[in-house]
Amino acid sequence: MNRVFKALADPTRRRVLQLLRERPMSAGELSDHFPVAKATMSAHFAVLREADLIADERQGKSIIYRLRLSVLEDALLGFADSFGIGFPAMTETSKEEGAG
Amino acid sequence: MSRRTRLFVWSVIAAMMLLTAGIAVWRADALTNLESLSKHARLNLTVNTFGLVFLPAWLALGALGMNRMLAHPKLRLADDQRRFAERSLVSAAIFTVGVHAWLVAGAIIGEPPGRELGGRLVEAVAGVFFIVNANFAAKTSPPPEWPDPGRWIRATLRTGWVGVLAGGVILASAIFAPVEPMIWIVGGATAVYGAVGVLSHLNLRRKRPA
Repeated sequence: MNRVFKALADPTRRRVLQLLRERPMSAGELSDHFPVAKATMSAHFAVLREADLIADERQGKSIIYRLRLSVLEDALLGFADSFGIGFPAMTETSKEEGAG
Repeated sequence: MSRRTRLFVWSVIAAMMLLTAGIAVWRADALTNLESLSKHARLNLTVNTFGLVFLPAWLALGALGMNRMLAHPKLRLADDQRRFAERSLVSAAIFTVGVHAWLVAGAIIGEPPGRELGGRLVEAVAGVFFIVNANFAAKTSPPPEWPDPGRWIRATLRTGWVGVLAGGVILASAIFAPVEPMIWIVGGATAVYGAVGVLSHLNLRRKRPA
C-alpha cells in the first residue's frame, strides 16, 4: 500500500493515470503531454508499474501502458486530486532531476 | 473454466442439493400442512426451505453463466480476468456452502444457530465479499482483442464502484438495520449490482467498434 501512496503523491503520475483512463497509450504519447525529460517520465512509469497501477505491454518497438486501478485505488486517486496532494517541485523524481 | 474448479463447484452444488432434498423429505409432513403450524413456525419453515433451495440454484446459475462467459467463442477474456473469475466462483461456493450448512443446522434443530446474530454475520460476510470482489474486479485486464480497451476499463471501474457501494450498504445494514428489512436490503443491493453489471456489459457489446 505504501507503494500506491507514493505513486499517487505525485501530480505528474496522477495525470498519467488520468490520461490512461481515456485509452492505453505508448510511453512516447504519454511523455508528449509533459514538459519533462523522457528519463524522468520513465522513472514515473516505473513507480506506477511497481505500485501495480498500470500494466505495460510491448508492441513492436513501443511499450503500451494501460490503467490497472482497483476501486480503492481509484478513490485514493480522486482524493489526492481533489486535495491537490504533492507539488511537482517537491516530488522525489523532480528533486532527483534537479540534483542531477 | 479449469477442471479442478468445475469439479469443486459442482460437487458443492450436488452436496447442497442432496441435503436440501433430504431435509425436504424429512419435513414433508410439515411442508404439506403449513396451516397447522403457528405463524412463527410457518414463517421459519418457509424462509428456511426457500434458502435451502435458493442457494444451490443460485450457485448453479452462477457456475453455468461463468462457464458460458469463459467459453465464449467470440470473446476470449484476458488470463488475469479468467483467473479472477474462477477464484470468485470458488469463494462464492465456499461462502454459499457455509450459509447452506447454517440453514441445514437450522432445519434440524428448529431455528438457525444464533438466529439474529447468525443472520447478521452472514450478511456482513456477504457485504465484505462484495466489496473485496468488486474492488479487485476493476483491476482485471480487458480482453486482448477488444478494440476499445479504454471504454472497457472505464466500464469495469464503474461497475466495480457500484459493487463496492452495494457491499457497503449490505455491510452497514448487517450492523445497523433492523432484522426484518435486511433480506430486502441484501436483495435490492445485489439486484442493483447485478443489473448494472449486465447493462454495462450489454452496452459495451452494443457500442463495440467494428
